Amino acid sequence: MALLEMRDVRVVVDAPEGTRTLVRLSALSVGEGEVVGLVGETGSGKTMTGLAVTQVFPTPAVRLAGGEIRYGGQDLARLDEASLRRIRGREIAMVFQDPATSLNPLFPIGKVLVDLLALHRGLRGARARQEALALLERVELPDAGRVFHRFPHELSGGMRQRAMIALAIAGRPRLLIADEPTTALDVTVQAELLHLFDDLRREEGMAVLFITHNLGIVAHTSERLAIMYAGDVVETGPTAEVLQRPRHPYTRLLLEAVPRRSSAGQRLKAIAGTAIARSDVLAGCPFQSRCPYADDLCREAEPSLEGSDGRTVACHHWEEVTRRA
Amino acid sequence: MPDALLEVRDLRKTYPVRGGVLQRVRSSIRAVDGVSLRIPKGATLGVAGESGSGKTSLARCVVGLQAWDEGEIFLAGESVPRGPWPLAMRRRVQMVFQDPGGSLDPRRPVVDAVHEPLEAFGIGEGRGRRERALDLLEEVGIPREVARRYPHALSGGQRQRIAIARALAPGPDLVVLDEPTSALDVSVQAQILNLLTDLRRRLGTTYLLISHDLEVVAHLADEVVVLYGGRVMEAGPVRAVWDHPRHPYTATLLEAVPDPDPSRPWTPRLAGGAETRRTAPVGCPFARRCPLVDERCRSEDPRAVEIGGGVVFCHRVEEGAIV
Repeated sequence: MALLEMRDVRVVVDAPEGTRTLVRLSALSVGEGEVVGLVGETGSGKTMTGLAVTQVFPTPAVRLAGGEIRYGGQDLARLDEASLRRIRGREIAMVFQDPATSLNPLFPIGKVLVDLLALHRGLRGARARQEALALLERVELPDAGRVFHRFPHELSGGMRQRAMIALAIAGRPRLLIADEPTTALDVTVQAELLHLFDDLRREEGMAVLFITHNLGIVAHTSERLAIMYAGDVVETGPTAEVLQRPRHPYTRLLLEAVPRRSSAGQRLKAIAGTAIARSDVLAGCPFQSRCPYADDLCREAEPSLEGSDGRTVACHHWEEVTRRA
Repeated sequence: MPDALLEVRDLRKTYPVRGGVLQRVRSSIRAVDGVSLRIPKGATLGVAGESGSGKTSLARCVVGLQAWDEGEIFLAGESVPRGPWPLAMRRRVQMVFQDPGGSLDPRRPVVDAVHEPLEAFGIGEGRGRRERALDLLEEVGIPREVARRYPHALSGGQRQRIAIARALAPGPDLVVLDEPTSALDVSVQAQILNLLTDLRRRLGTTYLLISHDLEVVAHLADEVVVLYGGRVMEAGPVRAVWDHPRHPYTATLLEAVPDPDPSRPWTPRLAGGAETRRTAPVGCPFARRCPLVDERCRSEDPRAVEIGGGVVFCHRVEEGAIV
């Protein structure tokens, strides 16, 4: 039984020219305590998919326009704002790429944390303060007692990201949605934070939806993968299987496009053209214009996400793709 | 030794740190702290490092965007002035920035971005100049009909192609690439890396590549310089250094990158966050995070040790503890 199960979720944006579809997600699920990597390039809809879960969109023009978001026996897509507010932070928390967007520049880290603990867990006074310090230590901030009184701008990027994780886990969420949480950081700091994520989810039993463009990160942090393209999932499965034996041409080409030490001096296999937005998909498969396997069938009918044995793929020719690999 | 197109000798650049109500100078950051490097003509040198390593300050000095405090820079054997550059020298060194949007005027068609440097350096005239701009754009994969469009109508990859054409327009000897693909998606990054490889083969351009992405450095560069805290930690042929890093910092950095192949183990050593060095500390800048640190590292600057075709600044290497 999945902790989170999204089905046929549509996210749209209302613009003067009309309503455009950003995401039309056929299916995505996260199990209890599971880490799922949601991978995609710019404009693939991965961020909007994460925001759709508790419907925290950047502007009122973006909204949920249908679908099911099953979480713990209820459909989040049908909840009103007041009920969603009780879920946010307490059941489902979020961490973003830029901690500055979630940390209030006007208050010290400790004060924000104490307020959150009162809101989510009803802790007050010395107990809240004690728990706040424990959380700062939990995210391995050196000298938690001093960080407690620091303002966000006084911390380094890596420390700010740790502080943000402390805020995210303050409500003891069962699901953490992490959107590119290490992208702005140096690789050595990134490695430390990825370790922290791993510790936290093991010790707190938290499930994580890890949204990223970085295939290297998901390869070593996620149990399952979902690859997104043009607002929909095109392939899912256990991480090692998807990365070692990709079924969707896009997954395969994406892996081949990554520069490596072994590719030195050679030309890379770049994917021709640029990504398409969901609203520009007219008929057939959204990947057809960039796909070496595309034929008449791909131009006429959009493949649906299908599969068995824990793997799904949305491609008419996936068997051929697998054979040629 | 073949003639160096670019040679940097013991370059130093310090920034003042101001504080308090009166914004008095409180201390200083040694952004570039005695860096030397050389690039043979037609080669690509990668400068790898994390934030605060001094790689961007170094690049800004090399392209003449910034005066340095001490040291010397030579371009094809000729000393580069520390102050404003003469026009003829500016023509010879060009730069491609991380954010391609920054070098494009949103109110003018993109062909103007390439036309402008041709005009500034007095290359070609009238229609011929226009044709030359369009040819340059075609060479980087921007067809004529796209050249008439405005920047907002183009993708990130197309904008970076235009930035590359703009840098190539005056026919420079050296192109400094500052994180040229960091803002791009993987599939587009591959296109731009291929373009840079092709241009280099065709035109023999020399590149100074600044990047935090170790795989991009490995892919594009012949030689690498690893910077930390404004100093060179290790330098040498990129293949040799990446396959057998000797400096503990180089090793930490390389081990931190997770490979998309899940069968390759990922066991990064955790060294604690990077810090920018202030004022004048003695010893190795990496001492505070290094797993192999001892008293000597904190009290004595490491000397250059030539080993395995490269050079390493580490007491442990000098002592023979790392081979």
